[in-house]
Parts: sequence; C-alpha cells; structure tokens
Amino acid sequence: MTAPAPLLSPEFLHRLEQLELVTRKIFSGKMKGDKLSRRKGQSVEFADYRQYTVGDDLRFLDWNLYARLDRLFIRLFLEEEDLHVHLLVDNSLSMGFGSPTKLQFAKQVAAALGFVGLTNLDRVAVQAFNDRMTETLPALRGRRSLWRMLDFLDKLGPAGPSDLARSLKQFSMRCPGKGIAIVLSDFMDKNGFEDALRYLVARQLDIYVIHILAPEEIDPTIAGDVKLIDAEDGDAAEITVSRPLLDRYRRNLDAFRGGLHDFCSRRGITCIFAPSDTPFEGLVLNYLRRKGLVR
Amino acid sequence: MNALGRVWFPLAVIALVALALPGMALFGLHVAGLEGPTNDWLLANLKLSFHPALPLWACGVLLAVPPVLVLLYFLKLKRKPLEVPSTFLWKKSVEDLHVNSLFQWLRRNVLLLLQLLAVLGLIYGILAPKFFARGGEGRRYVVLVDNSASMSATDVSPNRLAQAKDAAIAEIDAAGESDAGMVIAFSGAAEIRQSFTTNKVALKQAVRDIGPTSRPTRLEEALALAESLANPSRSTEDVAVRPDNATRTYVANEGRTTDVHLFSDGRFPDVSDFARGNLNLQFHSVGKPGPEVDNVGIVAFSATRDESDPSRLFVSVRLLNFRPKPANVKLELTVLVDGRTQKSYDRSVNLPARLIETPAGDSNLPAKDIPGENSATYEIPELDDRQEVVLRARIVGHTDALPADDEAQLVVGVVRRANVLIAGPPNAVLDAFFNDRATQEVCAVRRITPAQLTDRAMYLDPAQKGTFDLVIFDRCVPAREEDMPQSNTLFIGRPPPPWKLPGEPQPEGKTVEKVSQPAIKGWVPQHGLLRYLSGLHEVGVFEAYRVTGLPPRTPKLMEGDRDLLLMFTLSRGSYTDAVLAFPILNDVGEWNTNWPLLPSFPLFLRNTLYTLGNVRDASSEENTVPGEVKILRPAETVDRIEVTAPGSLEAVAVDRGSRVDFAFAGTDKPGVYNVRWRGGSRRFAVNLLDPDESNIQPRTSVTVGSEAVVAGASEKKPRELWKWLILAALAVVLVEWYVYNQRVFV
Repeated sequence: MTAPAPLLSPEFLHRLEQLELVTRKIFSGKMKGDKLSRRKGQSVEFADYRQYTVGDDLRFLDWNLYARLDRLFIRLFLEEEDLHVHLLVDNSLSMGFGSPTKLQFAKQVAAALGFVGLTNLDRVAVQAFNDRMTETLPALRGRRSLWRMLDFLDKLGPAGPSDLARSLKQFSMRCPGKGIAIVLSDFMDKNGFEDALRYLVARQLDIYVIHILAPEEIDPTIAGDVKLIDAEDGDAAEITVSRPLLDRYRRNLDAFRGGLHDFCSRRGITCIFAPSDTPFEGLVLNYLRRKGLVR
Repeated sequence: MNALGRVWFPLAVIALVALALPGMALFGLHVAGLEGPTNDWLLANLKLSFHPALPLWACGVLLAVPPVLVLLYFLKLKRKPLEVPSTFLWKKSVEDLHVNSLFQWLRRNVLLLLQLLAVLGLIYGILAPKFFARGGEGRRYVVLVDNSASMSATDVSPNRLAQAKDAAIAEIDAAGESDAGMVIAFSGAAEIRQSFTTNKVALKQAVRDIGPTSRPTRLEEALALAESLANPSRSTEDVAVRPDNATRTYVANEGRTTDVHLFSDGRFPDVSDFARGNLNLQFHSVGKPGPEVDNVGIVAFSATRDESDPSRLFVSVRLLNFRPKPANVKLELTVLVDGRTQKSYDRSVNLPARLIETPAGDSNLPAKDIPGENSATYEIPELDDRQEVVLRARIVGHTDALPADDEAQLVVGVVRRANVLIAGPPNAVLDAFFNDRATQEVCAVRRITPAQLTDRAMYLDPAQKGTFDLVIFDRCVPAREEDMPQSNTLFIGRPPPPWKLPGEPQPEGKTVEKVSQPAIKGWVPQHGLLRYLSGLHEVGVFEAYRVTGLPPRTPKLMEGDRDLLLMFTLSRGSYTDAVLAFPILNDVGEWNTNWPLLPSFPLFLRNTLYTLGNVRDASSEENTVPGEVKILRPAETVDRIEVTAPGSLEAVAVDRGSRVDFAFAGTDKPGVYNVRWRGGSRRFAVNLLDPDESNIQPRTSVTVGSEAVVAGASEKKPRELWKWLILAALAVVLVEWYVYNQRVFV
C-alpha cells in the first residue's frame, strides 16, 4: 500500500492563506476574533446607545450627546469575536471506496477549510463520525494548531457502519455554541439523511453539506452477473448488469442527489456536490468561493 | 400459480432438450451409416426423410451447441461477489426494474429458451427433413480428367495435369453436399477412379491420385463410361437388344441428367458419333491458350529393309514443328544391337514455322493448322538381319514444353512368319497371291480340301492346338461350331457356323439368303483389313449372301445396297472371324467378282495376312502406343512369358491362359520392352508418335456429338447459400449470448 499523499501541499497552503471562511449569520464567540459578534463590545464599529446606569464604564459615555441633551448615554460598540467552525467528517466504511477514496477527498477538503479557519483565528473543531461521533479534535485556534489538525485528519481511517441521524444528534447535543458546520459525507445511509440534518438545523448553525461520491458510484463500470456485497452491513444484492438496470441506477442516483439538494435548499443549507475525483484545490479555490463558503 | 411459475422454466428447458434428442438420434444414425434404412422407415411411417446438408464435423459442432448453451446458463448462475460502498441504490434500482417490468426475470429466462429454440430450428433445418421425398438426392456430375501425354506439357506451371486437377477439385468443392460425383481419368483408356459418391473428400483424393501417363487421348471410352454409369439402363433402349417377341412390356428408361465436367487441353479427335443424351457436357480448357506453342516432336519413325540386301536398312524420321517460328533441331539416331551402341548419326533438321490459315470470307470453316514438317532419312548399311536391332531417334540439345515426344524407339526384328491354312477347292486367285515370293517370305501356307476338314490329322488336331495363325475357309466351313480352329479365320463366300446356306436347315433367327448383283456402297478404310484400300465401289459382284441375326454392334466393314452387309467381322473369344459375304469364284469355279482384277484385292489379302496372321514384317512392326494392349505371339508354344519394361529390372510374368497369344497391358511407359520366354526372346517398342498429342495448343472448343462445346461457355449453376445463412444465424445467436452477458455498452 502506498503512503497517502500529504493532505495539503505548501503551495496550496500559501494560496489558502488569502481566503477566509464566511458565515451568513453573526455569531457570539468566546474570545475576540475577526468576526463581528452580536455581543456589544470594544470594537471601533458603533452599534447603539443606551442610558447610563450606575456601574457603567465611564469611558464609553458620549460626552457630546450629554452636552446636547444633558443626559448620559453610553455608546455601545459591536464586539469583534472569533468564529466556531465544525468540520464533520464521515469516516464510515462506505467512505473508503473510490479512487481517490471519498474519505481521502473529505479529509483534504476538511484540512483546507480548517486551515482557512485557523489562519483567520477562527475556532476550528474537527469531528469524525460513522454510526456515532467517534473522534473529536477539540477546537483549535491559530496557525500553530494546523499540524495538530492535520495529524488528526491523517490518522482518520474508514471504520464502522454509518448512522447519520444518531451521529449528528450526538453532535447537536454536545455542541454548545453556534457557528459553521460543514458536513462531509456520501450520505449513503439506508435510514436517510433528513433526520440528521434536521438536528443541525435546529441548532441554528450555518450548515454546509459537501456530498462526496466516488466516480465508480456515479458511472458504474461493473458488468455481468455479480453479487454485490454492502461494505458496511454485509447486505448482498444479486444483479445482472444490463442497460435498463444501469439506466435505472443512474436515475435513482440523480433522484438521491436531487432529494438531498432540495432538502438542503429548503432549510437554508448550502449543498455542494463533489465527486471524489474532482481536483480539490480547484474545488476549494473556485467552487466553494462561488458557493460563498470562503471569500 | 406461484408453483407453476417456478417450475415452468425448467420444464420448458427439458422439453426443448427432449425435442433436440430425435434430431441428435437421426444424426447418430447418419454417422453410423444407417441413413438409408432410417429414411425407409421414416418414409413408410411418417412420410419423412432427411439428409444432413453439412459435412459431418459441422453437424457435430452444431449439435454440441445446445448442451454448451445450457452449461453457459448454469455458469451464469454462479455470480461473482463484488464489494460496493452501499447496495442502497442498486437494490432500489433492481426493485424498480421488477416493479416496472412485471415479468423481468421471466424475460431473462425466455432468452435462453429462445436461443434453444433457434438452435433447435437450426439443427432440424440442417438435417433437411423432407415430406414425401427421399433424402440425399442431388444432381449427378462426372469429372473427367485428361492425363494423356500432352497434359504433361509445362506451358503452365507446374504442368497442365496439375492445373486440371486444381480446377477439378474446385469444381468438386463448388458442388452441393447432396450432389453425387464420379471421377474418371482418361487418356488412351478411361478408368473410374471414384464411382458416384457424395463424399467430397473421397472425390478430391481420387482427383489428387491421378498421375500423368504417356498415352494418347481418346475421349470416346471416357464418355461411354460416364454415360453408362450416369444412365445405367440406357443400353436397354438399344433396338438390338430389345426382345423381338413383344410378350413382355418394354418400358423405355428415363435417363438422368448428369453434368460432365471435362478437364482437358482438348487434344483428342472429335467424337462426332456420340449421342450426348442426358449428359450435359462442360468443357474446361487447360493450358496456355493461343497459338504460342513451344513444341517440336517426332511423330513418325519407320524403317524398311532393302529387299535385295536385307543387311541394309532405310530409316525415316518425321518431325513436326508447332512453334510459330522456324526451328532448327539436332536429331540423333542411335543404332543399338544387344544393348550396345553400334552406330550413331547426328543430323541438323530445319523445320519451317507452323502456319495457321484462316479461311477468307466464310468464317464458318475451321482454320487450317499446318505445322512445320520435315523428315530425316538414313541409310544404315551392314546390319545383321538375324539380330534384333533397336533404333533410337532423339532430338538433342533442345528444350520444349513437351519432352515426351522428343524421343522415339524402333525395334527392327527378325521375321515372324505366319502359319496359314487354306481350306477349299482350288482357287487360282488365292494361289496367285500366296505363291508369290514376297508373300512366302512372311508366311507358310498349307492347303487342304473341304473334305479334309473332318480329318483329325490334317485339320482338327492342329486347329485345336492353335498351330495356325490364320485359316482361310474358301467356300467351305467346318461342320460344327466346335470344329472352329483356335486361330483367326477368313470366310470367303460362306458364313461361319452356325449359319447355314439356303436350302439347308437354318437355326432360328439366323438366316442366309442369296442376293443378286449387289453394289458396294461404302466401306471402313480405318479398319486393319481395309487399310489403304480405295475404289471399292468399282468392284462388281454377281451373287452375294445376306446374313441375318448377327450380334449387335457387329463391325460392318463393307456395305452394299439393299442394306446388304458384304464384309463383317465376328468375335469368337480372342479370335476374329472375318466374313466376305460373296465368293471370289463360285461353286463351279467361275469368277463371281471382278475384284481380283483391281489393285485393292492383293492389298486386302495382304492386310488380312498381316492383321489376322500376326505377321511381323522383316523391317518393323506397327507402333504400339502407350497404354495399348500388346498382343505377343512367341514362335514356340509356351505357357508363360516375361516382359521387362524400359528402365525396370523386374520382369512381369504373363500367363497365356486359354488363349493362343499373350496380351500384355502394361505398356504405359514409352521405350523398348524386352520379352523373354523359354527358348527365345524378342523386343518391342512403345512410342507416343501422335501428332494430336504433340500439337499441345489447347483447344477452346471440342465437338462431341453434333454440337461443339466451347470451353468456359457453360453457365455456373447457382450454389446453395441457405446453410451458410443458417451458420451465420447460429453465430449471431452465440454472439448475442456473449454480448448480453459480458458487454452491455453496445
């Protein structure tokens, strides 16, 4: 087995430095960061006035207003805060297929987005899941944490069956704050993806779904009489590959993708379809920028 | 309903395989050679017959297809396991398909059934069953391959015979599977190499086995053979063998049309007196067409001794040039005595170019072909006339397309005198001939009276021992058929027994009546007895006999008016009885004819003496052509002779059997043959010496019967294509099976 290629090349990292993650929502954070928070704070951006009460910091009194109105008002500024970025990577067995494997592709995208987040002093948390949340990398901040994130992603391998709903339910319950949730998965769950995404929506996260499929899944090359074995649950399906069957498969795949896209659109989730053989640098630098995930 | 749904498919497969079984059984019977009896049974019980239209191996391949298909089907059930990320979408797709096409699984299986059905149809199609008809009947064809001397010509590579054989094999290949073919090789004689069969392998092998000969070409025998085998009952149509008493119904036989493919260079005399009847003759000309012929050949070689000095020999060699330009050849004549060269002569012979004169104006006349001709004559002195001398003429330092005619041999033997017995009353005319000195040199004559014919010592014993070569019965006959001599005879003015003269009790159907003053209307100058004879119509005859009840096909040598037969020959075992139906002198000694006054009469007697008396001339004897049966008559009475062929060390023994003479048939090779017997030996030469064979320009048309057959003009029969279409359909079925299972991206 050949050693996997490094998730991110130095040249690519250099180009990623110019990007930043964008959220369509303004979230409150724990530490001062680059993003504006709903919380009022000490930035230079004026937000509002309120009447002075005892105990307020006298430095924020608006003396000009006091001169005109003879009343004490406190100037409120928008607080600049850091952003929580949750990278949710599906590492179930089904992600281990394709060339390159879907998991490898997911890890590369996660690494790129994570690096963008770290560079912009966002709090980046990476979490792997299959039928539950398996491994979690605590929130990291700053470029110095890049190597910890890459190391975590590198060690991530395909394992276990997938249960999207259970995994994301666990995540929703554990995740305290708000922010961006980026789900990287093939969504091949026989129980469906709808419940899973609803848990995320309920947390009012800014959700991005990156739907990864292998080219072999999009355009199957199998022929003849075969017994298909499900990699996750060992389920068998005997088929005779014929043109009608292949046509039917493609229609079903299109319906599956369309269903996911529709579901996401209706709930303000950005759904991005990415075959695993897409050049991922292009995906990150162009496609995700167009989709508004990065700027 | 569900149970029926599960079992119908295997039941259908079993039913189809069961349906295939009778076909396979029929095929097995065909392989076992029981097609005939099987067809008889089928015809009697089911009004059916069959005949596989394909060769055995092709049928075998075909019959192996259904088991292979079933095998493939069961192999298909063993699926290859393949791990996929998820069966989620696949299962959904399969379910969708099942929902969308209710009988999807059924349809897949129907494919197998359809294929089995198609193969079943093919099997029975190729077995070619027929209603109300006998199987295996196709057209008949005869392949005649010329292997005469001229077919060894090398104007085409490697030679004409090889080209003819290739063409014949192609013709056999093109014939239908049910067509029965026969192979005949012909030259001077015809030989059946393979009788009628549909087995193309045997036919082609028979063609391949045909080897070259040095014989001349005669087509008549080959055609007669082809006709007799093609229409075996045709001879019953001959009036001669039709029963006279019409007590039984005579049904004319319907002949069967037979294609005759003649592969030859056409160098044979036209066969004008042959009725083609049902034979559809197709002539395939072999050799390089056109007058550009490269051949110079010896066509005549003769020697005569000087009458006054027998030790002096005059030799003449005639050469013909068939090239379109003049030729100069060196002719070498070697004189061999006891196998040793005694003398040798070299001479340069100039030969003019061959001339082909196309008649001006009337284009219907054939072109006149005049080959360049020249002769070389030699006078060889001081040869011992008591020894056999072999002369060999050879064109040296010369190459042409036909080497076989560049050499000729001649044996100048010692005289073999004939023993002649003349029975009858005194006859001055006969005496004048037989008392002549020249005649006495070649024969010894004894005379007896008619009364002595019953004398044991004078006639009966020597006649039965075969002492005489020729017995002439002049106005008398032996009393009984058993008293006929063991020799050739000439009957003058009397029919041979069992015919009797008018006035005597005549056997039924064999009558003799007197006819007055008949006129001679025609004669056959080609026959040995009438050779060189001319002006016979001037012969006047006062009284002759009409002989009836002659066997069919009796050679009619001389015919008169009123359907009168004046001279004919009858065969008696190996002997010939020549009959002259009018006497020279009548019973009272008066002249009955003026023939003795004409020059043709002594010639006729000489011919009779040489032909029927087996005289070997002082100078030489008639040339024997390769393949001709050589009649040998040793001077002593022996039972066995040994013949050594030229170039061979092994002698072939020939037994006399019940004959007086020996018939030697192994004269295939030109050259000098050595014959030995107890107490003596002699030689004889076999030469081609045939201008027709030496002229190797292939003819483009030959005349057989009344019509000319033009080479290549015959139309090709349409060939059957249905079996190839069936084979193509089979291939399509197999390809479809493969594509359906292996490649779906069509």
